[in-house]
Amino acid sequence: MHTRKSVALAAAALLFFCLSVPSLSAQDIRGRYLIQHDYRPSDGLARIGWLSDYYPGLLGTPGDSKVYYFEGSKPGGTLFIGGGTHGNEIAGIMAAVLLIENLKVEAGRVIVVPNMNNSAVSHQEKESLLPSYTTRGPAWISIQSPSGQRFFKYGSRCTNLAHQGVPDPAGGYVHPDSNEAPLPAWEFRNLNRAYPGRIDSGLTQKIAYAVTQVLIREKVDIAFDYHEADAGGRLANMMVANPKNIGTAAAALFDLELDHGLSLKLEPSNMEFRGLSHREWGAGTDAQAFLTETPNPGMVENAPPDVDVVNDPKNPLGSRVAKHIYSTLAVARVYGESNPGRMILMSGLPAYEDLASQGLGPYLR
Amino acid sequence: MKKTFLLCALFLAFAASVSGQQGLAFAEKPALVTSIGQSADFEMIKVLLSRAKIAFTADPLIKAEGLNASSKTLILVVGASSKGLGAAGISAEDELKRTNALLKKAKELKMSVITLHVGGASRRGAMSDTLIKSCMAASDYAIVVASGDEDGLFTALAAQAKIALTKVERLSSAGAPLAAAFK
Ligand SMILES: [Zn+2]
Repeated sequence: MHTRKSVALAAAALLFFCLSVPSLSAQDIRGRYLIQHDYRPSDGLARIGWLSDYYPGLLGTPGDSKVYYFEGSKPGGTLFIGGGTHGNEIAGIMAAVLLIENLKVEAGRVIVVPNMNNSAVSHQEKESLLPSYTTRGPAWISIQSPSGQRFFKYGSRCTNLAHQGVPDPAGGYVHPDSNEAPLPAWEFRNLNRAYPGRIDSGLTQKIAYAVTQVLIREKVDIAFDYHEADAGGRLANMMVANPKNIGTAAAALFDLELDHGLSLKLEPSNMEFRGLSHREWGAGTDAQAFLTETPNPGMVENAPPDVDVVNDPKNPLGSRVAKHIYSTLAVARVYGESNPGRMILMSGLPAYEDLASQGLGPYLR
Repeated sequence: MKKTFLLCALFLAFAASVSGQQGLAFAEKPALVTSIGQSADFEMIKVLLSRAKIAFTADPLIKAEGLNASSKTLILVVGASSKGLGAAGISAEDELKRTNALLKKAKELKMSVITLHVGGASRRGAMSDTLIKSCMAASDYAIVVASGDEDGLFTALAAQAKIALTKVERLSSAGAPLAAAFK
């Protein structure tokens, strides 16, 4: 009797606690499994949200991830920037971090998700099934900033098998809308094969669904997905654009060459190859969709296990980050010229040449 | 010493390229620009033409039948993309056939023809080179980004066709010589 009463009391107390401070319990669940990334936002930050705000099924999972919002005092368009689709493509993550720590928005809005696939960023499983290039590299990188040494997570290409919740499909991965031959089974955990995403499948597919919801609900005008590729390969130094916005991409790349001597290759999305961000974002939302690829020395075939992905003499991290950021600025400018009411004006960022030559260090907090 | 030699060599190369250029603007507006090989370089050249204020119409897939006297100059953006050809649903052989028929019709219409190759080394290779040879043989002038002519293919083809060839360092530098080719 006595015990039953205490249980009832405890239950009532718990209920009261839950009802009186619901935000605290939600806070507990958010980021429960995640690395506490050390990012130090600029004063221009308006607020921080989560991917789970757009799909609550991500709440309390390793797929949840922070969303950083910057808002201008003047109206304008909305720019979305994602890094860390592939956790080993560190320049994409660090370009997003550099923006978070420096950006001021004068007109319009900028939404930054530095770790699009936080599960992939969090681990470096040496799975025997995965090709070595998907996981090669350090577990963390370090960069000297004015306030001291900073550490940033270097992850792998795919969602952790233990987080996915659904086994890799036997016989290979086929996107639900694809008519193509099956991809290797582990591609089921590749966020950039999962768009527009679905909620009745693995964690990767749920993350993709949440990202698509961000683009739709926030009425995103321009969406960028930052990647890296094999430094000597076909993809490195490329912008991929959805066919509907290839004209914007071409004009931006032309300006990049004139303004900074930076020449990037241009390719349209292959509309038959389903699940890729630039293809599905462009087709399924109002956003103009772009993907940028910079050369990562850690993704070269037979790169040594101790490869330096920060201070590479030919492609230092600062120059790779500069390519992502300035490609985006060029696209936003071209877009604003033809859509004056949807202009996105940004400031606070280091000059292209300074970032490329001095590296990230001086521009991190 | 080495540096002086290099400078002299550079000067001679520059002088050669200038003297090799058409002395007079020869091409008439408006221009029609098409893609030979369906690469995205076509999109870049549309930007280049707009910025250089050269009036043009653009049709990446125009066929000989579609060509008429309303355009005075045909601009060929050459370089093959298997991805681009695939997306357009045409084979490399079909693209070559379209190119040859188009060039024959342009000659009948007495159009000027200008070849542009701006994709550098990544727009070379067997599929591109076949198209490049057809274009260069029928052109009055060619502008190429230098990294696409490291093996001298364009230099040799220009000599064979007895046409002027201008080499530029990067795509955006092609605007000035292209604009200068127009009356
Ligand atoms: Zn990637």
